[in-house]
Amino acid sequence: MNNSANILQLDDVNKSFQASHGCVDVLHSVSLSLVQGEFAIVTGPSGSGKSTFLHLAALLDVPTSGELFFEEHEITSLRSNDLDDLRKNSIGIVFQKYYLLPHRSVFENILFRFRYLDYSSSNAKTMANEALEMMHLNAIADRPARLLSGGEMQRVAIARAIAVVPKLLVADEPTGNLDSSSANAVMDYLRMLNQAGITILMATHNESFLKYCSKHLVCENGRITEQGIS
Amino acid sequence: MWRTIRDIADGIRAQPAGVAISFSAITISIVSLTVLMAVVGGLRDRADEMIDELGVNVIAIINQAEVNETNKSGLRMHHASLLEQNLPDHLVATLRRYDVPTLGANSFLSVVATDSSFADIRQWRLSDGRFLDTRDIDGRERSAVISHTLASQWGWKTGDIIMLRNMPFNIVGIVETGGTALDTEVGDSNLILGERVVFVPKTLVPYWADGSMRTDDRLDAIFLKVPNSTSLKSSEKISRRLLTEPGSHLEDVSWVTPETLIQSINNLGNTISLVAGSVVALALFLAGTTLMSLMLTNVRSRISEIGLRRALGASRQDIISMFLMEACLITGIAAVVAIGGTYLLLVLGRNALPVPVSTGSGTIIIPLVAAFILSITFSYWPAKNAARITPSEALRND
Repeated sequence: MNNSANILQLDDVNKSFQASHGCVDVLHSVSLSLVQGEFAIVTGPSGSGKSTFLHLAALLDVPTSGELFFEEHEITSLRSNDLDDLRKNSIGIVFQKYYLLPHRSVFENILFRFRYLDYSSSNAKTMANEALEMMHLNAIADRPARLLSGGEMQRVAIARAIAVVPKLLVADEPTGNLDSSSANAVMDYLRMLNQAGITILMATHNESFLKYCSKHLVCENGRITEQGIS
Repeated sequence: MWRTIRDIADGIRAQPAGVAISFSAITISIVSLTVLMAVVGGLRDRADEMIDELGVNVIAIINQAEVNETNKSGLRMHHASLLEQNLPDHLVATLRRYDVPTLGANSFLSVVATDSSFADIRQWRLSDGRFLDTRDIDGRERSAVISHTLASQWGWKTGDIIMLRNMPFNIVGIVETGGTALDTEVGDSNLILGERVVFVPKTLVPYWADGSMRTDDRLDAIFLKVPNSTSLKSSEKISRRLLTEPGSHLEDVSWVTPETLIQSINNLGNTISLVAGSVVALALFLAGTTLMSLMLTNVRSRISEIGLRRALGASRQDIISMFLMEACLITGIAAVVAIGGTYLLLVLGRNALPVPVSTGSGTIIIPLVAAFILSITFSYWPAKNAARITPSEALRND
């Protein structure tokens, strides 16, 4: 059953993929919940299933079996279009590879968050400007994304994710391609967003970032367990 | 709208060389289709013009054998009489043609000895005076009706006296003898007559043409106007039966009807459609496969962008629309360039072309519709493939 305070809840979730040599089980019997306002960090070795878990949490994919609740919605029972609506209205996603549109400017990339939302042009621009300011990107607003540094690209990606305030911000190794100072800056921004009330679920290999989180999830061989915060 | 244009621009930027190749292939195929449509339309227009020139509901029986005294099998006046007697509600006109040297000029005029009904049968318009009438025919008057071109070129007018083979003729009218469609397509001088023609009464000729008093009832053609209430086919059948009865001595004549004119044009049109149409179909297919190849490459190279768009809430339909719109825009611009350029060249150079061309709406609309169908047909499958990829898969495959 879904608890109303939970923003995300997984009950005995399994995920497998069809490969040429047969079925590959990636996640096994994952049961956990994420309460509104939490900052959860998932750690674990490469290939342990972190990204698959984050894709499920970001509603980019559906479980093979088990139940996954996003707020009150059980997502396996939703139609594809309803899932698209839920994702665009409630979830912000930050990727390790940023996925910016290289020929568009910083501002246009942030504005792209509204591409499939029904906001008026002026509202969208106002909100994109707020995100731009929050991530301190005003000075490079007109610069094409392909000319940015890694740290700048990731800040643009975060600005795009938070231009519409998400109920859940999913960040898949957002510091993976950054040097330590850029990585720390990005983590500071994420902490700031969390303090502003946004629930964050983040995957990382860097255990030094655990100081930012309120929940530590460890992913190993497709199983996710909750660890205490030291 | 602006967002869609930006999306399409992103797609074009991703594959500029592919877009250029695809654009060229589509342009070439649409140019060839536009030319084909213009020629087929031109032939159809030419068929209509030819029927107008021959006259609606008109049957022309044309002598193919040489008209001379030794040839006994050609058209004769009694053949025309036979038709008049058996088809009393039909208009019958006979035609005998002579080339007469013109006074003071090194050229020949076409002098046509005919009936008073000839202009009515051919539906020619008089620009001045009158055509030959029954008084001219019965009274063997030296009346002449000249073609409009002759009047313009030589300044002759109604009331003038002209000399033909040293005999004076009084010009009683000027007639417009029609266009050049039959001239171009049929090439039979007994049907076309040319532009410099003088019409004289048929009863006058044996006495005038060579000065002899011998009876000469040989004809070059008989024209038969079928009344609206009667079927052209049945009239043709009856007249064929009448003229080919044993003892009629009629051989080597051709029968020209609106149907045979249309048939000759259709045969030409079908040949062109088959030969050029195959090439055009092949060009369209190649253009389509080039477009499909471009779209497949586009989907593959933009897979992470597809993932991003799906992550930001794009539905499968949004992704299909994006790729279809892109294909439609590339094809649409190529089609507009191809049709516009070809149309302009056809309008400017139509007189220099060896075949008739139409610049009607069909020449524009059919290639446009074909371009639209081509873009949808050949880009739907790549677009559908792009939409089938789940966001997770798209992002994982990058």
